[in-house]
Amino acid sequence: MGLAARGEKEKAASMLLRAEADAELAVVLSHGDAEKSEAMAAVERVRQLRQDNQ
Amino acid sequence: MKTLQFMIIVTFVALFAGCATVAPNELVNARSAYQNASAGPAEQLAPAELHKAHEALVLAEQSFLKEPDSQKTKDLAYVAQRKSEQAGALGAMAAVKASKDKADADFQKQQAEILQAKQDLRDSEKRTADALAELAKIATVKEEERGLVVTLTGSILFRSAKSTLLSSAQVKLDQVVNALLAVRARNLIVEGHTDSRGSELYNQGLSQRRADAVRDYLVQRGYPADRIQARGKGEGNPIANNASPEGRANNRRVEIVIERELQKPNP
Repeated sequence: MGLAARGEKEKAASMLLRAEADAELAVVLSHGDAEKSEAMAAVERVRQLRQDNQ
Repeated sequence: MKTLQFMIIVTFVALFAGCATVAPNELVNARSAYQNASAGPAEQLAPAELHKAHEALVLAEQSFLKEPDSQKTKDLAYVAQRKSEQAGALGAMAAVKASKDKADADFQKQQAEILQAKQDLRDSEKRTADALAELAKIATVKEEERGLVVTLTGSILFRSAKSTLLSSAQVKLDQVVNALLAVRARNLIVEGHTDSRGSELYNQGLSQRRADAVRDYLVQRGYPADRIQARGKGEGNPIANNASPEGRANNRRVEIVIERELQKPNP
């Protein structure tokens, strides 16, 4: 893997790590059932992306 | 405790990383968020989440020691900040829930107390009604402005000119006191009355002694002493004409006034 590609991947990993933390916080802060389901779905999407990105 | 550990870690980080190395904003924010969370209810009410935040912060601090300005340090610090915020939010929510649960429990308790009070009132009213029905069987009972007046004929209580209760009177008074004990919270006034024969002064004294004798007997049978007053009324309040023997017999009497309202004991 070239330096450029590796740099992009690390950047993506960093963003996803932060996105997951954001999404988890959103789950905690969400109040309504629909809001909570949406936030939990977002967490799952980000986790999936992180997994795919590893 | 965790805050103390955290402060120790921060101190070590400052010492070993060197004061010249400035912590990235993410780490500064993470430390602040963790301090806020651990100062709030999270320590008590969301300890698991606070522990996770602590672990995340330790990872960030360790990364800062090795690679002070790396993206990894910043990312780990960002995660630690978010986890601290989560712990803080969960702690606050748990506190709100605990407060609501307590309010609900208090409400339930008050509801139960109100129901009990209503039941007690119904029971009390029934006991009072039963007691009045019993009294009506053994004496004349009359509603007056001053309360419920139970009238006992003097001749069944005392010998002429005497103030010692007859033994037959005691049987009657036992029935009266049993009924009165069902309405124990009421104040009673025992009033002695005479006919107009004899001097006014003599009749006043006799009526007082008779009222005292009835009062003492009621107390002896269990009615609270601080709720009974004895008053000699002499010959001044006749209910019949003193000219005839029947009228005089009616005037020789003891009245037990049951005060209407629940009141403090008689002074």
